[in-house]
Amino acid sequence: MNIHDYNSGVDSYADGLYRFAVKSCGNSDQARDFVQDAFEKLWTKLETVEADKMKSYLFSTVYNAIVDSARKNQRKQTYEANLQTPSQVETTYFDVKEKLEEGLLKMPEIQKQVVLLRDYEGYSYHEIGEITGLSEQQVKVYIFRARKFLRTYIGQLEVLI
Amino acid sequence: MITKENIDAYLLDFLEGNLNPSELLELKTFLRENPSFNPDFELVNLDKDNLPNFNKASLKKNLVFEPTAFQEIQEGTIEEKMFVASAENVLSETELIHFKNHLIGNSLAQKEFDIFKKTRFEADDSIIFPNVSQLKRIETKVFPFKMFAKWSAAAIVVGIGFWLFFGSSSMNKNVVIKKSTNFRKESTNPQAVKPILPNENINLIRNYKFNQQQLTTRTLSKSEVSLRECKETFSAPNEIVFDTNVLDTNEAKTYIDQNETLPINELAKISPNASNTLTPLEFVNSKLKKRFFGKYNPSKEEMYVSISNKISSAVGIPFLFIRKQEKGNRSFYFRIGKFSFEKN
Repeated sequence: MNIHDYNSGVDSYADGLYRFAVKSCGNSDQARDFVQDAFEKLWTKLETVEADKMKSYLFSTVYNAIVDSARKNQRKQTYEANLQTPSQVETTYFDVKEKLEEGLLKMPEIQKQVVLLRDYEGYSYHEIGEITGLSEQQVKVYIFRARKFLRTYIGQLEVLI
Repeated sequence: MITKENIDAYLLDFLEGNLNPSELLELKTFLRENPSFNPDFELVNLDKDNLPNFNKASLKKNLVFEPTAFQEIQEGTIEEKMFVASAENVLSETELIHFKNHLIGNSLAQKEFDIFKKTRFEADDSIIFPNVSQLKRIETKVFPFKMFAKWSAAAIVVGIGFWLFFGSSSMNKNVVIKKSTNFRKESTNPQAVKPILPNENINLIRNYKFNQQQLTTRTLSKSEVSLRECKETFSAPNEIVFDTNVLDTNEAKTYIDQNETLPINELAKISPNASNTLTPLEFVNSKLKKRFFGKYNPSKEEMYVSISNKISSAVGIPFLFIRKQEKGNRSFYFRIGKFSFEKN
């Protein structure tokens, strides 16, 4: 891969990568750092990463960074969640999309990642497996569980409506 | 399939108890969605508890196939797998036809499927990375110093090698010995001692007139350089022409002094094919020799000694290598530090 491939990769994948990171971690500043770090790593491995593997490499790097960050913040989040009273959490939703976004945040981390990779970037199960380090079957299972979870989540809204 | 047109017939069948469990479920579903068709006295009780003994699995028997993409998943029902697979767009054409047939007349399944379809996320194009240009890199041309150094070193080595092994013989070409049938005829031509005008002086060639013990020198102008003109200008029988770019006066004199005892014919044998001009390569070669060894035409021994001295000064260890070839006998002497080796 050369510098032209790298710069064209910035044009092609930076937005998608950022979108994926924002939706995954819920923090735009942190997402920007993840994306910058990913491209920085790609630059240092310019000679070893092939051009057709660039997208996969970038998403894999961001995915790993998000997972690491999520693990570090897990205890903190659990603590903060325990502090919240039910009245603070309950919200009235009138939009399926909002409810879906809420459901996304409540999903297990791994399910969230695979669903986003699937829906945002249109990756196949095999490609998602390569990015996340999971087998294709595991990816299918996680996606199946995620869909069921989201269906249950927005199903409550459907009943309300 | 129950519609607004045939609902009355279904209600009648319901009252008469002619509906099977599947049709009953379909009727209740229709009435839930269209409560206006349910009579005021609630002819059809929609409570779950009052449902007849109905086996839901009987409905699912219509969906006997499992989506290929999710066959390996060991959890969930077949219908759920179909819903998810359909929402994921991974159903084959055959599976899709079966699935659509399953949805026809099954409003519950249709509703369930509609909810599953909503579980897909759509990329929000309004989210874009700020300052994409910051991520880009500017292409800069890096001077290939390593390659340049390698090629330079190689060129120097080749140049020195060429100079050492081929350069020494070319110096003889600087000496032109012309044989003449006329013997030491003194020049009476006034141009022979023509003073050199400042603007005219090119200092290309000095002509040494070899006349036994007497050595006269004269600087020729550019117009006098050619051999033919020299012959016309000087009637001297024997001339030795030196290129002053190569030899200075003292060296020329030394050369002549060393060889003056030789007859003219013998001098001619030294360089019978010599010319009076130097090629650019020969000129550079001679200049380098002068700078490196201190002489324009050093002997091989002198070159070996000079190189050895330079190595000694660079390394800091006494070093000497001399190679001789005399009358077909080759010998060399090698010394480094306290150790020496000699072979004859």
